[in-house]
Amino acid sequence: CSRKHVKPTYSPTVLLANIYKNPAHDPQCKMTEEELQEHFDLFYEDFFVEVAKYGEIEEMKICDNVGDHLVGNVYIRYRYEKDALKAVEDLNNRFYAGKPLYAELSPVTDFREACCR
Amino acid sequence: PRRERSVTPLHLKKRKLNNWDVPPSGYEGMTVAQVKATGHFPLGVQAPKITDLVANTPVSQMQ
Repeated sequence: CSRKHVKPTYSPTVLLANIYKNPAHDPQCKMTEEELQEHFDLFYEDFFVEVAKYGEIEEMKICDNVGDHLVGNVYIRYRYEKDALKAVEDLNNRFYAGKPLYAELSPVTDFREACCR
Repeated sequence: PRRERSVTPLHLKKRKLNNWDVPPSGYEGMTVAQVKATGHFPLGVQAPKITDLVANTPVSQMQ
């Protein structure tokens, strides 16, 4: 994959890159499965509740892939494209956990088919 | 079987983390655009992952 994907003008899906860091990827990590799950759940809820303010969400996924371009990526598929557009515009002007957010529209609409060839 | 647990509407959910709209320390008072323009927070490999910094810092105790 060249990773040179065409960025869509309209899409119901928003991509926020490199947001979540799974503590389990750290070789020093001593957290139990349960603690790891709780860490993830807290993040998921914190994120979901806030981005739901832009419109109805159909699905939100967080990548556990370790590739640099995928790790911790958050994908949010809204029901309506207009809400995704609103979210991208607004999220690009917000901080999360001491970092500016970078949001863009993603061409992915079916997460199960979202494998790059 | 039906779930008996009641569902809390999203807008009534209590926040457990305090990560939203927290600027990088030392950059308070700057806009997001200004912070991005410094180039100190690039997207990608070299960037420290933001959950290294303040994620999982509960503002209220979980039950």
